[in-house]
Amino acid sequence: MKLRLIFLVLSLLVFLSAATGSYLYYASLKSAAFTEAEHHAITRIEIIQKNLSSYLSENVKPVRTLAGMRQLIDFLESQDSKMVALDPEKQIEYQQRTELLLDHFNTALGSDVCYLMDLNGVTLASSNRRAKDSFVGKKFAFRPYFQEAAKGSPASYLALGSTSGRRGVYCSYPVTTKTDARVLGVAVIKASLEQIEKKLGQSRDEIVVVTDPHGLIFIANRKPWLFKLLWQTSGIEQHDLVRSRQFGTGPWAGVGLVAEGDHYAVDESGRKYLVNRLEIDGFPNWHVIHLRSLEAIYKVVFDPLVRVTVPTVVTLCILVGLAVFFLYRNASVEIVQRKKAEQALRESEKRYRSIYHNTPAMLHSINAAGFLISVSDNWLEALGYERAEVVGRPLFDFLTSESRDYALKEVFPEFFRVGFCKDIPYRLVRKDGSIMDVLLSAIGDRDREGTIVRSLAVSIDISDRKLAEAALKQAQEKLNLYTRDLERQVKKRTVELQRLSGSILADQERERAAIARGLHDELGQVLTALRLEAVWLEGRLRSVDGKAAERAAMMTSLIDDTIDEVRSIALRLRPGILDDLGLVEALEWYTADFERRTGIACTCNVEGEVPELNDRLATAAYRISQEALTNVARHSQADQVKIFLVVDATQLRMVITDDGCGFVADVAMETGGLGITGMRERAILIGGSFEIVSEPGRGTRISFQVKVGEEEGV
Amino acid sequence: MIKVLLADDHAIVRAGLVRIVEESGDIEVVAEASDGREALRLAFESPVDVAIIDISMPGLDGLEVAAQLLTAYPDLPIIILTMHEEEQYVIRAVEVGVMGYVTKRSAPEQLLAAIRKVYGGARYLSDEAVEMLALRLAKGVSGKSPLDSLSTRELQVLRQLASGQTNREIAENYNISIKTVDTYRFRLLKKLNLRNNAELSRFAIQNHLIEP
Repeated sequence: MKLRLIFLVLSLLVFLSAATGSYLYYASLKSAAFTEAEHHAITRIEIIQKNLSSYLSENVKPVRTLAGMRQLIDFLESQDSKMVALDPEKQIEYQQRTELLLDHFNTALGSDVCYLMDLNGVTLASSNRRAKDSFVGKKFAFRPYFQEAAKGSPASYLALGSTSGRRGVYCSYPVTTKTDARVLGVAVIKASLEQIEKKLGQSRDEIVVVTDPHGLIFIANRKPWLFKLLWQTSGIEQHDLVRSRQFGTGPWAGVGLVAEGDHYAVDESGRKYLVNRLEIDGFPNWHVIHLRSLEAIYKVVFDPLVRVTVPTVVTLCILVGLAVFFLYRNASVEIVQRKKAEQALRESEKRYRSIYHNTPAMLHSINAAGFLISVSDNWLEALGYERAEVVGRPLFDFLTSESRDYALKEVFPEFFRVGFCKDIPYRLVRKDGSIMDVLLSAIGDRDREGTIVRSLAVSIDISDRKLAEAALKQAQEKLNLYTRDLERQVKKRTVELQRLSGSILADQERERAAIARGLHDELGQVLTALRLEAVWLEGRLRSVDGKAAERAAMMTSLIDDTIDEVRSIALRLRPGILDDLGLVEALEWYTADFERRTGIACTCNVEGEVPELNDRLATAAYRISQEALTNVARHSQADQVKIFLVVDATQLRMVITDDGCGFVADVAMETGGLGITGMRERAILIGGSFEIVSEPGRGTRISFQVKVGEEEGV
Repeated sequence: MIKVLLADDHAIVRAGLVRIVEESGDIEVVAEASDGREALRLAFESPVDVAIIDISMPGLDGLEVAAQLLTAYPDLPIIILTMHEEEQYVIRAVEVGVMGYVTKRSAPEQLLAAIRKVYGGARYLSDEAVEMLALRLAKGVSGKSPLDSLSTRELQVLRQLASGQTNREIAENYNISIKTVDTYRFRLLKKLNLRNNAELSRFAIQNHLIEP
């Protein structure tokens, strides 16, 4: 609104200055025009005066010539009484010759009348002698031109003809004798003024008058003004005029012109004139007066001015108006836009404020000195402060001393360097003195130089989280305790189970050994004894009873089969060779037996001196190799299998490889198929390790390794 | 008369054996022991010509008894008479120093011959045991040798082939098919990097598997 007003005022000022400029321009033009007009008027009056002067003195030289003519002198001399009287004829002859000369001059000069007067002022001869108003015989001694000429000096004079009633310019010259220059008479040439008046023109705006010494208008380009007084005159002057008898008898009215200063005058109708006057040469106190209508001057000044200026001014005004209009419109649009933008900004700010305060998060801003400049409602609510207690105070006041140190030493320098920070663990102090754990993240607001001038920070209350974490930690510790306990128990149970498994295996072995030995030794011995008897019987019977001997042989054969069977069972249960001779012999026997049974080439290589091995270790090694070879025979489709037994002072290592089809070792290890569980169990039970490396198509390699000497008791 | 000590923990078997020995006419059982210690005591009390000792006995086992007897009487011919038919026992027994090895099963047929043979200063071993010994000796002599890569049966087949046996004979000897024998032969040639049976023979001789 204000801007619009300013704009309007500015527009007005522009308009005013344009108008003022125009006016000044106009005024200067006007004054120039006036000056010009004055000059013009002066020039004009000078020309008129010159013209008048030359016209009025036109007949000065002709009248001198006329006056010097022989005929006039002769004629006048003849009339002179003092001269010798001439005969009448001669006189008439002179008169006629004079009259002829006068006619001749009159015609040649185009003047009104030429005449000759004697010293008494009586007209002796005239060119208008035949006209009704003939001057002949008339006496004009009162005329100044006569009086002057009679005295001997030529004169020119303006006067109203008393006989003709017509105005004229009278030029007189004395006619003198040739011998003594005595004045005989006066020659006069009178010229009409009508011609002059015509030359003055009839312009309404320009009045030219010629006044006599009394101010009577004698010549004018305005008929009604003739023989009136230009200025109002006193009675004395009227009287003088009457007495001069030059312009009739009067009285003479004024034209109603009133002078205003030297150069202006106003007429009856109120028209104003510029007045200039000049004396006419040769006519003392006769003036030519030039009245120039101011109106006309104005018109002369204004017309071109109006013609030139008005369109310019109008165009200018229109242009200025248009410019103002467009500027105003643009300004209005801009103002509207700016208002809109301001509105939007206000609303955005309002929204921002609303968001700032209503966001369910603790927001605050600090300045570069670390003083709080704003905080959100939530911040106040969470910490229990009033806004007035907080804003303007350093953020440090609301931190615990450790947090303060942390902030001073690490967070603040870093923040003011990089412009942000994230998840800073602070501890805030509530109004009631309690502590709140928060995670603070902030970004910095930089000024043009890039210096951080304030921050916007959000703090997240993690007290609950901390509590939860603590609880979780406690729970975890508890769980750990439980887990450890459980693990302990599991371990214990595992050990127990292993012990159990070990003892089961050991029992089994013992059992097997016992059964095998029983079968082998007891049953075998009995069978052997039986066989001894049967063979003995056969021997005895052969010579006595052939059939009985045959029966005995059959018995022997049957007993042999039974012995084989029993041996086989016993060996399968547990080969006595393992107990009697040891692992190496048992493996040798077993591999040979295996080869015999399966046709798969089987070698057993032993490196190093095999010491006396304890029963459990030997049994484990034997059983593992037995299981491995059984797998080879059943699944591998191998051609060869090799057992390497490497023994040194500290450990025993057994590797069994075959060139069979192999299998996916990991799967087999997990599922525990192929008797792998058993092998591993046996290895573990004696504190050894067990490993299978196999791949489909690449054979199988089984490793068993155990320390020798350090025996684990079972 | 050949005086014999008979040590066996099984009375019935011992009785049977005594009877076999006594029926021979030239051999008599002068001492009968039912365990190792008794056998040793009896042997030390009255020296015998031949000691027949079972391996599986309570207390000291037969091999231990044999070893101790041999310490006292290095020239005493000892025969191991046992239920065990595995060659490994034979080898161990020979290592201990016994002169004869007879399984109880074959006692009726072989015991007397064995007693007489060892009494005469010679060894008495079964053919299988002899073969095993030969193989073991061959391996033991050559130390690290190409033989290490051969299995027992392969060695057996190699030995037989080298000594001029035909495939059929070998198959019959080991109670396996002729085709299997051929497979063993092929495998032997490959493992030992040899070309024919002649080279096999030369290899066997060089490695003391057979006598030239």
